[in-house]
Amino acid sequence: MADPSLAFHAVRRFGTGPGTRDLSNAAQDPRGWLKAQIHAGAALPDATKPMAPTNEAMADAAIYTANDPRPSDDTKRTLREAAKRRDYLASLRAASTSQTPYMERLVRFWTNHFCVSDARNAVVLLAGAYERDAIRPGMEGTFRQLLGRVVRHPAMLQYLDNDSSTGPNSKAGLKNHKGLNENLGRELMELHTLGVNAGYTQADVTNAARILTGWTAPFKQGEFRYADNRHEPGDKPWFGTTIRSGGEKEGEELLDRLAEHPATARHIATKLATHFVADTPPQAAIDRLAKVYQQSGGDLPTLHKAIVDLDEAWANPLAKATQPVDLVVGLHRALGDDGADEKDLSFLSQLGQPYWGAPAPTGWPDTTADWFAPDALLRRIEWAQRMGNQYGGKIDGRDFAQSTAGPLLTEAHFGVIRSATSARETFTLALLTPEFQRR
Amino acid sequence: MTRSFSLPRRRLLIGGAAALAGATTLSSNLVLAATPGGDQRLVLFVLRGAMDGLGAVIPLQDPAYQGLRTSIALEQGLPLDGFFSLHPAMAPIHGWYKEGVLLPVHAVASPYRERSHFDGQDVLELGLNAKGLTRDGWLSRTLVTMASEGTGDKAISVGVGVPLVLRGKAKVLSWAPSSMQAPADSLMDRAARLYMADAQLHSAFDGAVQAQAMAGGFDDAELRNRELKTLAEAAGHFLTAESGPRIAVISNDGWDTHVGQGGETGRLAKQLEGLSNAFVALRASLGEDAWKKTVVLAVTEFGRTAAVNGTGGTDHGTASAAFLAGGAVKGGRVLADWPGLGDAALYEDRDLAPTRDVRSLFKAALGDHLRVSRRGIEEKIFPDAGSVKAENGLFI
Repeated sequence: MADPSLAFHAVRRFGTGPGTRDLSNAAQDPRGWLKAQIHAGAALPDATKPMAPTNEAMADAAIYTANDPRPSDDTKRTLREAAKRRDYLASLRAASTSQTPYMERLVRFWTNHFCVSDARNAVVLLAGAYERDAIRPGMEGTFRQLLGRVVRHPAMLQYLDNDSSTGPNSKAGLKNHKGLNENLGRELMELHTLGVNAGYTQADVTNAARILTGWTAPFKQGEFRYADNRHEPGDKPWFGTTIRSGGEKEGEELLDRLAEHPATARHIATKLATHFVADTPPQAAIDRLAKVYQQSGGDLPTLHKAIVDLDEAWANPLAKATQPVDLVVGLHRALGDDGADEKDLSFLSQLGQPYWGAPAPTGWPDTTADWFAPDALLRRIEWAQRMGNQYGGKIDGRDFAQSTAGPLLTEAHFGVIRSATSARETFTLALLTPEFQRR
Repeated sequence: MTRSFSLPRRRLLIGGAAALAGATTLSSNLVLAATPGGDQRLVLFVLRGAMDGLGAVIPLQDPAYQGLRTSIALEQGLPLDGFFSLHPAMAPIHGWYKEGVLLPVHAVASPYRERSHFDGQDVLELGLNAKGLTRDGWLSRTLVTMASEGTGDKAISVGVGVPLVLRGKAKVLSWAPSSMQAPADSLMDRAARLYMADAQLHSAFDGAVQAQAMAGGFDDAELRNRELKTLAEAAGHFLTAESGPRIAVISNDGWDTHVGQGGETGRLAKQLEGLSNAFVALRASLGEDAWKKTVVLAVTEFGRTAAVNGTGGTDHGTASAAFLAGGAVKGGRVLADWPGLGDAALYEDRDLAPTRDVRSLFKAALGDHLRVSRRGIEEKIFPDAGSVKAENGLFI
């Protein structure tokens, strides 16, 4: 039997707090339990079944964005609300009910790394399909394979405007006087792969955008389409080399080079270590993950196991802030119910993390300072009070605190919970302990 | 002498929530009059996503303007100085120009010369030549410096979270509208005990309690939305609250107009209208007395390409415009060393060239308005910007 506090650390740091069987499963061998999830985690767990596949989501998006007939505001609202009930809740329920909670955390990590946001137009209808068809299956292979699924997915092509980018010297560009939009080209290099300090120039960004012209996703088409009449002709110099004229293949070659670049290995390693180790992760942990990335050819299952093997990830329990989505998911897991409802989507907005609604392509930030602002803490207290009103009469907050934090719960904090004067307040305080607010 | 004079205020700061609660029995004027800092206020708007300066403060008379902007160019705007015009969506504050309380600044940029939003915002908020020297935002360093000079004060972030410009060693408040029920007092008492031993949660809790105390009285339904106008109104409330902060920061997203930027109407127009309405709401909420002592500063991480892109928008550029407004501003003119938009004048053949470091405005606001010492500004707040001179004559 491992030290019991290690099992609690495993479910908090790598999962979303204990669900029904997590602690007993983790007790013998916490690291083994986490690594086994990498194999066991089905790409599409049952809870994701309601999610619309990409072609269906695109059909909705075609109606939503049509000019003729232009949909009424009612029609648009109905489509948005249907997508939220169908896709958003399925995603949250998959996280709440999963037997492989580490995999679900990784789904949220990669979805956030390759952020799309419903703050932009039709993304609300496509975000679920993006998780279903790009992120989840992509996590089973290499980073390059995931990258390919992401960049070819309509949600990303729409979100970062590549769908509307046209080579100025392409047939369509010359005829319609259309031109480049460099949004995807830039964020692909800066956020998704190389990182901002990799040494590329503005010309490299513009040329990445040129290379990707023609990568479109017309809503009516239902899926990715390479439009050669919009592709900028000719060879393109890019980041010290030349990508030869080759139509759609140029984009694939660009993704190959991005995925194999050492700067990408470092960038991905840093983000993973920041998420699973510490706000400012030790350089040794970053180096180790970057090395695993390079030695394995960017194999994601290997990389995901290597995170578990970092001793640094086990050194400081509760060093990271629990993000709002993990508060909500964590509550459902601890309650053992079947997970989220529409009120949770509203709570997430109130708590400052609307689901699939980050304000910018960077996605949600990942340090304690980002999540423990004074106003944000007050929202957490208000949410906990609301949950206390809802659950306090049914569940003893003292039991809840002990079963979710176990040996990590300090005597002093347990004393505060015991000092509450009502069952509601007891439950509220159990949610507010640093042991629940941190991971 | 100065030292003993400033002691009470410093103790106030060090004493934290309890001491501040005690001070609320004094009128804010009394407290503030006891400090050399006075009761000047500063409101910083951080416009995220890169505001198109050429669309906001339009160089209509520049011969290259129409040719670069084509489909999104305007024929006319709201007249400013004959050369520049204000975007029509900014009509709510156009009168301020004549009144002399609006000062558009053009061809201004932070020292950042790449085109990443996220690094650009970091450099703007750190107030440094580049990332690295410190992780504390320039307003956080300002608070620390003011405290050491005995003019210390509080700052508040209005809106979700605390932006980098206010992060650092100084404690700050933050407040955002909520549609959930406020916590019961007994709950807050017990929550305080949960966070006593956790430095980060304790500091956040303290800031929340103080902001909540000052927010008392405006949980009206209309203040529960998160529109920029609402946040501006709330900022005015905090800045005039007893023992309230004198510095407020508001972040505003949505300026990244790669597609469908539009001309007279469209995405940019909507953003500019929202900003103008927020300025108006802030002024109304402050009241004219406080407005006279207020400087509003709206800045963005960088500008956008001089030419329209292939999708009716603009891509990431370099120099942009900024806005100074407030009763303490000597406005009614456009501050610009205009580089021109001709081919040879563009930065890297694509962007409006920067001719003014945005820190010249920051330094002026801190020195001439908030009365931070020159030494504090040069050594503590902007240690790597010695060559950037504070802009003279911006404030009354």
